[in-house]
Amino acid sequence: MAKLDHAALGRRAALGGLTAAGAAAVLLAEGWADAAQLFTTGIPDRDTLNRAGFDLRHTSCLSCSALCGLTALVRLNPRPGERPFVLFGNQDPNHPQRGMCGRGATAAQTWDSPLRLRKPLKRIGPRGSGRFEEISWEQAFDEIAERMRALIAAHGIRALCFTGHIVIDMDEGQWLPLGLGAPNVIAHHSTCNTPGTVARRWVLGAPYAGPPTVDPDFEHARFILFPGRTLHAPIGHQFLLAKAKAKGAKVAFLNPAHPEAAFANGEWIPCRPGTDAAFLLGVAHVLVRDRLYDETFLRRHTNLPFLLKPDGKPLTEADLEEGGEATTFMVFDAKGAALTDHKDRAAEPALAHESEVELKDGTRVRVETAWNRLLRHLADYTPERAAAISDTRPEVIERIARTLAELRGVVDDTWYSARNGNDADAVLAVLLVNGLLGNFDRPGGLCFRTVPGLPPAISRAPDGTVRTILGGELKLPPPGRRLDQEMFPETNATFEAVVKSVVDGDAAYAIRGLFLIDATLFARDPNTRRIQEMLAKLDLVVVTDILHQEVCDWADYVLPSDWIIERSSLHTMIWSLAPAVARGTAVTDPPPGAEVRPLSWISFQILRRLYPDRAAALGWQPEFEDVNTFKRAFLAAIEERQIAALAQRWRLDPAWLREELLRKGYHRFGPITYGTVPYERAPPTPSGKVELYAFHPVLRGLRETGFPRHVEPDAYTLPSRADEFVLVSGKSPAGSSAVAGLAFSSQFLADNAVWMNPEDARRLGIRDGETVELSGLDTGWQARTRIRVTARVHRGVLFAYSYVGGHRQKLLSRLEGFDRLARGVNSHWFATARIDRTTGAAANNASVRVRKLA
Amino acid sequence: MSELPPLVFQAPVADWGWQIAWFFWFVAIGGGLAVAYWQVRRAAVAFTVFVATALGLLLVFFHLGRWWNMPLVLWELIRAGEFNLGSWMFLGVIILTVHLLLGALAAYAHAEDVGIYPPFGDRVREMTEGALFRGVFAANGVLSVVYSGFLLTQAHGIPLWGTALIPILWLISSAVAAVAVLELFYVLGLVDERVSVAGMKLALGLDALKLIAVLAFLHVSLTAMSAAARAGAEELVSGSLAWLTWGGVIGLGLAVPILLAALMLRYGKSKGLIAVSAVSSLAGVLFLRASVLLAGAWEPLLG
Amino acid sequence: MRLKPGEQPTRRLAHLWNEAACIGCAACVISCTATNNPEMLYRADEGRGGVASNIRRYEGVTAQGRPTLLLNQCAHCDEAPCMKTCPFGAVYRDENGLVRLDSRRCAGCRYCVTSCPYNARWVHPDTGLPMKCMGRGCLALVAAGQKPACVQACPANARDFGDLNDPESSVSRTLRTKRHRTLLPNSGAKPKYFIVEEV
Ligand code: SF4
Ligand code: SF4
Ligand code: SF4
Ligand code: SF4
Repeated sequence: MAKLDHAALGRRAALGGLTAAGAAAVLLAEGWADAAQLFTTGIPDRDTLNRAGFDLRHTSCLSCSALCGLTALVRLNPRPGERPFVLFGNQDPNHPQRGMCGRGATAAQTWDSPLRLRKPLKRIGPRGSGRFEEISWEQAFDEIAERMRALIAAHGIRALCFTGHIVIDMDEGQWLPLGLGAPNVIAHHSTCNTPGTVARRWVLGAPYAGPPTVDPDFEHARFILFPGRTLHAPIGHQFLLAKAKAKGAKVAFLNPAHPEAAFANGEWIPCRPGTDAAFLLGVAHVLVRDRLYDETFLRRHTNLPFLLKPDGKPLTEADLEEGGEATTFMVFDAKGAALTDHKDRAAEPALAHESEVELKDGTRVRVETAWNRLLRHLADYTPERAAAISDTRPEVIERIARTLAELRGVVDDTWYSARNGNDADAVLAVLLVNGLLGNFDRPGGLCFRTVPGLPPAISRAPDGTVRTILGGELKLPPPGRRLDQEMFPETNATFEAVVKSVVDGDAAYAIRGLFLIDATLFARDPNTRRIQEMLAKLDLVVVTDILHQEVCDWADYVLPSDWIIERSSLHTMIWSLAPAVARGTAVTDPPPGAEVRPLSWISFQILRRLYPDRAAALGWQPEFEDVNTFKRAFLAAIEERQIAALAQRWRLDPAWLREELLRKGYHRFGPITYGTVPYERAPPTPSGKVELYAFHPVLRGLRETGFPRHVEPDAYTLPSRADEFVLVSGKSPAGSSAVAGLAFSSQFLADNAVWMNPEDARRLGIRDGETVELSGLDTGWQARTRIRVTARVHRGVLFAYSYVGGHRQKLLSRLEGFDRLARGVNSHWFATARIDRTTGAAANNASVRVRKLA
Repeated sequence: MSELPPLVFQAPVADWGWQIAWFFWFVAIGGGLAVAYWQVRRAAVAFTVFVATALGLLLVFFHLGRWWNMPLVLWELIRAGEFNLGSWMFLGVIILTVHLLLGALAAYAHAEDVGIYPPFGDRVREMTEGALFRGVFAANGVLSVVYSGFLLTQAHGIPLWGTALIPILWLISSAVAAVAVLELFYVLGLVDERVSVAGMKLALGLDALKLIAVLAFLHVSLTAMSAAARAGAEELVSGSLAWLTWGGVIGLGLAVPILLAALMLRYGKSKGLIAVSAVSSLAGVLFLRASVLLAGAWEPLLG
Repeated sequence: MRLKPGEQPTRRLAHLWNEAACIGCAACVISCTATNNPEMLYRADEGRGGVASNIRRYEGVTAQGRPTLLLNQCAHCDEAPCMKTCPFGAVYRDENGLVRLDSRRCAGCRYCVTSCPYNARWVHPDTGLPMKCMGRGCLALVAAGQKPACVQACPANARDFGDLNDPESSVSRTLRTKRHRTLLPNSGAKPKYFIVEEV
């Protein structure tokens, strides 16, 4: 334990349990003083702590979806009215993803929030009315199963869609859709990470597509440019970044709005929305112009030496000879001075080359390396032009380029990137700049995550067979292609496909029933009017959630699920580059009077009513009717197996591992590994290289060029008048998440006014605090909001935090003190649902007209 | 139109607002009349000092957020034997308590004027007529008023209050209040005309002084180093409190009495106008206190 | 323990906040309430129109137009005006150099509130007590040799707390090596809330 005055700042030593223990003493109003004495004498062991009536429990934060490490001080036998726990970030300074931010800090409010769902609800008014009656779990399950049965009988299982946010990707969210053999499990991605995910898949290959799979090595970074990203989540990265900053690291944020993280000595580069690609191409221009790139890296590990035909497609063996391989690409071997196949290990591919070749049909075409093409491509993006497009300054572009090169910096590859409809190009540009810097998989560079190999509790094989970690097996036919991937083949999930199928009838078939798992559709999906229309038209809408979100008002049934701090959890530490898992212990019971249930139990209850045999095959037993037996006998057994599998994989003693997880709340199985991809392991791209020129979309005919380019945002009508603006939304670290957005404190700590630049305000004669009317240029939606005049937003842009404003659930008007949640706007009122056809991404930004009220 | 440093006014937080203004107002009357008592030894004056001081103390007592804890506070003070003599508020409580007692004595002495003959009435009357009592009474009156000004100057969080002009303003306006009350007494027939005539001349002079003092206070504040003092003064001059300054302090409190006095000096006295003028002055004294309180804000920490 | 007049505290505990490290996440603000005033988790401090926390958050712009943030809390001033003005001596200094409140002696006049140059106090709607850092939750933490809640909550290592009298304490070392300032240095209050200006 670090005694008060001996813990160095920056090395907040192993406070671990201790600090927490001390706090435990405290919090709990009465009796805290006695308990505090316990900790003055030294480190209490768990038993001492328990005897004193306290415990220390690690858990993970689900106030956003990042799952940072938290530690709770728990009172074992709280008296009525006493709060049973308090939460801090896990104090271990070596924790790879340490909590907590302002959202995480709201967990204490979320737990027993007046908005907490406590009983199953059945709708008694029209959809949207928010009128419900409380019903029993029995009744809820019986009725839902009955309606699902009818729906499946009439339209097939494919007419049922499951959507969600993070939980749907976790084990808990899988039991029902997999047990039903449902093809349509369509998560939130298109409104979040799709542009980045698709771009990374193109450039780096499928395993490195998801946002956490590739990340800057924050702890060892020297300079990071964050285009669009705030790094407000996972906040654990900020702790790593703080260590880097203490060693002199610098950060810059390219963003239309000033992110809170920039308060911490960060440079803020305000820019026009949707122009990150232009800015970064300007940076690339300078890097190339001034020869600040890593030539060896480009030659050896990227596809820039690959030859391109005039149509932009790569020259392949199949182009040159009958029976040639279409997957064998051609390069020019500088040593042998001849064309050769890209797999030729002896060759030295030339970066610069241009020549004429004869194709197998006898035609002659000029071919050039992708590098040569890049030089021409970048010629269009002088710093001056890039600055003009992005409304930044050429000097800044020059300086950022030089800093990146001199400090061997890194450009963050984004998490949430679905903003303007042209975002995939921005992420391609991020990867291009990083490629030019040659800073992949090196300390302080853009690195690849090593996963710990935690086996899932339930999974589906390509042949449709569903298996559980406990040996359950369920033979089902392959579920078929997802509706959204039928429409948008590149997407990782595009929920708008469901909306289209319901509202426009514009799909192969229509979705009839929707199961929402922690999916705050109104805060998640653009174009509120369409979402409402869809919800009104569906045959069945079921919601499981922890808080009464706006979408609950539209559900036929609302089922209250338990929350992460009320159950144990074991999960991959998603955002750690080093292989690590986190294990959480239930911190507390659900709040008094809350009949909340684990999602997996809810799933089984529905499944067993529809298909008793399937439920049994997946492990359901009659005694699991008792939820505590289910937890003890089933969920605990799964965890046991998972820990055993991890122990086996990393050659550890399972008992030791279990103890370690209990003691620290996490285990890191090894360090971050550097120098692997693309050096020792080829990225699984078509070329086996880092494809700075993306072949896949070009070969598929999705794009004309494999390089990023600037195209104007096409998700919304561009503002053209003095009173028209792009409305950008972004995240507040104090409140922007589906859960924290409903916290009492977010009403005060996450501003729900719309921000306007002082220049614009002066021009329009709008004063700080004044109320104006916004109307969507595309959706026509009108709303009134308070304007905050602030230099924290770029000219021509309005900014609103997402999740914190414009909540419309009817319940709010009946809750004292929560009225401010209804103020402000939800940017999705104004956002179109236009989908980028090449990636399947949606966009959260919109354009609006501002009207000063008389 | 751009971001101003965030200014936090004390009234919503510390709640030193109208109730404290009334308290100060009663202190001003009780203190000013105690001075007048040196000359004007009338029952009405003595009673008013007593009642005003008592009302003031009651107001301030029930302004305490924890008045119900007072017994414990006193017990703890006595038990520990520690008194914070450095606190103007503590001193003030003593001064006002003494004033209440002195006022009670004076009122007691005048009981027979209203037909009550309490025991030892003569002895008390004899004492209160003495120069010693009247001197102490007047001095304590001045002290109470000065205290109520210093109370503010010692509130270090509120720069607007940090000027020595406030005790001076308080003294002048307390004299204005005392004269106004005397004029009202004249209208009601409680004091004779001689007092009133002297009062009117005095009042004009005092009003002029008060006007100068108010303007000086505004000027000093508007040009102060402290942003909070400047912002507070701006509120008073042209902001949300301007109505209080121009309508209440200057208009009612000064312009109306000065105008009426000028009229009466020219065209002769009228009891009705005297009454209007006196009430107007008294209101001005209240508004002055309220405006200074409400304009109090903390120094912005940013900006 | 209340120090007698003239007595010197044995420790001089002080808070540091690093403005160059703080990412404005408000975890400290919220944790402060959860730890010290959990009864206020769903109630605003109506007076100041915000969360009932001992930490206050301000935003502004520098003369150069750069957005800035300030978090402020009681500075446990060495010459605390709030201590001088309290009519009943309810505000006192303890052996750790902290400015504390004896609620038995407080009548709720709020003179300490208007006396604080740093606007560090708020008034509890139920008890009428003037509240500020440190609350009882954090005091118990400190008594147990732990860091206060805000320090434990901070994800960016922007906060520290320790003894200025101990040259080896982390706060002393930081103040020796890093540029820092206090707010309103001319207030005469000798505040001990240090704003560190470099990481
Ligand atoms: S970023 Fe904040 S809210 Fe999200 S998981 Fe981490 S501590 Fe929780
Ligand atoms: S900051 Fe304010 S409340 Fe704290 S000791 Fe100083 S004067 Fe008192
Ligand atoms: S409110 Fe309480 S602590 Fe503050 S000055 Fe008044 S009596 Fe003292
Ligand atoms: S917790 Fe730390 S980073 Fe967050 S606002 Fe407080 S001091 Fe700043």
